[in-house]
Amino acid sequence: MIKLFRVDHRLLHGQVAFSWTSALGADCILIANDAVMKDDLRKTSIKLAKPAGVKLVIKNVDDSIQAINSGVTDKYKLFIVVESIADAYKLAENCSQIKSLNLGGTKPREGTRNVSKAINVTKEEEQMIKELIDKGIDVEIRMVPNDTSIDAKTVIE
Amino acid sequence: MCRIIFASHGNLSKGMKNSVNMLAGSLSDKVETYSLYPGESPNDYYQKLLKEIPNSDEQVIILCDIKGGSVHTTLAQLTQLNNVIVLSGMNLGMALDIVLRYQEGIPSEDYEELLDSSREGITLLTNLVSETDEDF
Repeated sequence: MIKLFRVDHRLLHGQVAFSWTSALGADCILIANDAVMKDDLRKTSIKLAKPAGVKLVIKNVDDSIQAINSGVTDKYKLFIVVESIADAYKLAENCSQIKSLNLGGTKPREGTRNVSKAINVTKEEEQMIKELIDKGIDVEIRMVPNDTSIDAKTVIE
Repeated sequence: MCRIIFASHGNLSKGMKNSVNMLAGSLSDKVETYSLYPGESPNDYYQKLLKEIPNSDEQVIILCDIKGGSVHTTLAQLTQLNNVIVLSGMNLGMALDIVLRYQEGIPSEDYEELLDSSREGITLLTNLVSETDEDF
């Protein structure tokens, strides 16, 4: 089952690996990202952040969708991390198992608006979040487990 | 509940709490810090704790910066009290482990595992070599 589905531009790093994995009791982390799959150096460096006793699977976005829908991930307490809202949107659109989304961090870029501490979104990304909310997906903003969860509805225009 | 104290020469303990806060959020709020500054004696802090600790049976976990430093050697004497444990070689991995996992205190059967995982955080890398990929 999916314990958490998160957007974090840093993908897997200490904050995610340690605090979220232990708070969720996750036993498997899936990194769904096209660029990392092709970048051995980055892939290897992400493996350094893997907590002991947890399985780490890295797949491109399409293969991740396929794996989730095939049922092979059902037996895991799965923690999925994607890099961008666009990737999250694609996964959520194609996997009916996804019922909620955690926004952990997106970098400020050209044309982005800061909606909360570490969340910066473009107009297009705001639109995607709105569509996910309309589909009935709970979207929250929360960096670490003990922070107060902010309902994205309250900050997205 | 337990008391968690980071103790160091200078500001390391305060900085450590700040870094733990970045990773663990409000769970770090309860952490106390002790900084020894030039001209001070850790004995004053030791005496203060020696008076306070016996008033409660909660576990007191003290993380000291360096083994054998005056902070460590002084505060180590608090282990004469049954509910005090003193660790040395504080690092962020160790501090985070304790704050995330042991808000209720550390059971003695976990001591070795805690030390092992703190030590495992110390590594040296030269040529990054890819490990085999895992799959479901």
